[in-house]
Amino acid sequence: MSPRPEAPRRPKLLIVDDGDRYVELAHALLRDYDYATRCSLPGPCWSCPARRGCTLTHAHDAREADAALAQHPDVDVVLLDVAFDVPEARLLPSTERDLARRQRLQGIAILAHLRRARGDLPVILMTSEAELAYEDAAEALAVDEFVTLAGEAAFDARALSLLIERVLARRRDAPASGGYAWGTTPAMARLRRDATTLARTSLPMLLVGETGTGKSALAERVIHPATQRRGPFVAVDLSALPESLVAAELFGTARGAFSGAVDRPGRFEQASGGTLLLDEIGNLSPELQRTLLLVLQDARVTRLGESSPRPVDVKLLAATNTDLDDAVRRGAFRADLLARLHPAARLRLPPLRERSADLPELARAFVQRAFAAGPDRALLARYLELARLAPPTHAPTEPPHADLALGRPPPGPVRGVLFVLATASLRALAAHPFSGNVRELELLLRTAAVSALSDALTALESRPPDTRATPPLPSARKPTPLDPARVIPLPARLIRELLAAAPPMPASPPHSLSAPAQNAILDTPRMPFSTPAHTFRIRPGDTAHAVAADLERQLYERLYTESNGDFTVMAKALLTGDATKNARRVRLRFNQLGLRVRKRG
Amino acid sequence: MTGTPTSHREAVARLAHDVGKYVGRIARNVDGEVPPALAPLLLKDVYETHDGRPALARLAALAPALGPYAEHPCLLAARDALQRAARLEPAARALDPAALRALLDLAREVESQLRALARAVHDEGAP
Repeated sequence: MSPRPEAPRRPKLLIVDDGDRYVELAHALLRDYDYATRCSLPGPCWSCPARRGCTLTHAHDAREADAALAQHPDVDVVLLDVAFDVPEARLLPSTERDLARRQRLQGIAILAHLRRARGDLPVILMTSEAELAYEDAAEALAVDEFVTLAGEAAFDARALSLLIERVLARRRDAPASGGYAWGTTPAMARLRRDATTLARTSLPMLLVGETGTGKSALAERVIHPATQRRGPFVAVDLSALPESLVAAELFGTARGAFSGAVDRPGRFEQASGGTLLLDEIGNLSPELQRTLLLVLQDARVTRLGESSPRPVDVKLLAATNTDLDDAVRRGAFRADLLARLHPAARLRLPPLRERSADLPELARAFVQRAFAAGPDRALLARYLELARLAPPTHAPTEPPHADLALGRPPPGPVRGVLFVLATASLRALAAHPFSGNVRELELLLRTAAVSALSDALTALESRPPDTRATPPLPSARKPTPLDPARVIPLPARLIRELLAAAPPMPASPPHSLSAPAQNAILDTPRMPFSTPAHTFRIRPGDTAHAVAADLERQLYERLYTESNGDFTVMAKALLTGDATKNARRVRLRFNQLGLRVRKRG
Repeated sequence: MTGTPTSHREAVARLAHDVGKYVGRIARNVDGEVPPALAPLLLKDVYETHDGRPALARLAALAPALGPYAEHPCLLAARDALQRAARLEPAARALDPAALRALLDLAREVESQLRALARAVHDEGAP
């Protein structure tokens, strides 16, 4: 469905520089890129009437870089200056007393700061080894595989452009492109080839596979980038929407279409120019199947309450874990709609049991990803700092990094923290049915790694500060193979307990809330140590899943506080059955929600 | 950057950053005539290099911290090029094409000499 030619998305650059030299150069000579500005006016800056004196063109310090990245999460490459001649108050906090040195190396500190949130964001440091006095930052830069020194290309527009293209190509061609763990089985190799080939066409694509096989991730991280379309990736989980709201959500509304309706574009319009994923398409009602068929035929949508259709240009992806052929035979799904979804070229994602050879690679990728961003990355950073495996936050700083070894740690230097999974545990994982497929495996490994790290951190925090470093600070700054603090085993007992306690992954949990609300009363009648009802705050989010996770996080926080951190008591409030096993399940979920165990008291 | 360099090597690194890098910004991207849109940027590179002051002034400010490198041939060549650029300033600011072309050459010379100096100091492992 593509009435207009698809314009490839232009790479987006964020410039972080205390001055305006780089941005002036880029706007004058590098106009093939989009720029992450801090303003809301449409670009580009060089044709903006308000450009004179504008300071929103780029980020001038770490705080503004955070703001720009929050406004532009789709930044492809950061161009980062190293020296920042800014007042001390605008520098990142540091234990370094020499203000001039802090300013001279502030870019390295900003790099470490960015790494805490975005571990794999390509960064080009606008400097050379000689200019940087390389030894000052060599350690931090040597362990960062996503940083590149511009060298003499820093102010050479043509060379800089080539460097940016090389960085982009390297990321595009990386084996785990987009963070999708492919493995090596023939079925996955076929899937990868077909997905990237079909992505470049205008045809709709149908992704089929059991729950948890990675359909949404494939759509967002692989297919959408491979389309090279400039518009956004938009996903709708049709199983998570009340049936009465699906039409409004997909096609939009006009003011007055129904009581309370406002002018609002639907997901088709939001995704125009980009990619739209309709997840669990088997849940679509017969009436909406007919409407969707018309949209696919005409490449136009009509908002509820309007009569004039609007053109849309989306790459449509549909995903399902149900057998649509069978649904057609039963009369539950329209044959003509299935035909439109290009069933001959459907992409089948194999269940985990058909790709057990990929288990080691998947396990490693999932542990790396667990600490690549978010609260668990902060936890890892805290551990590295407390164990004095990384110096305090003044530059240079070792970026938090986690990896997984099977059996025993390999010889040679260890970067960051290395989790070790026993061979027996790998065998236990291979023998487990994993009805929730790779999603269940990822959650289990993330929980095991975060639990083990959390335990190691708790043990470290309970020791007097002067006994935490092993070995002491001066020799601990370089990665050493023998440093025991860098190696954290994933206990076999923990893996066994998680496998035994892991609940089957639900395909789609039932939903009962029918309308957004700012506050809701959720009844918690089996809580033995509290009043039976609590108020929870509902914060609207990007996805229904994010909103639900936020609510669940509030519940767990509340229970954790009221039970004084006793997971057995929490388990009794939440689950029926064996309290000991349930306590492990509750702790598993607690960790999955990004919550952290605190000392009791 | 502000503050006083604590070593000769740091002073050279700062000189390469504060002067060499910025002076050559536009010059290294332009061959022949300077496009009108880039002329103000070129003038800024040479005559408002650091804190709005000329490159020559920044070099003079950092010179005492350079120790033995203050007499290095690369530094002397860079200083000479900057002095010639200073003499060109009135004509360059009047956007005289010949003056702008000459300024391009001088800016490239300064950048190249200071980069060579920084590389030499880096390779020597100076204190």
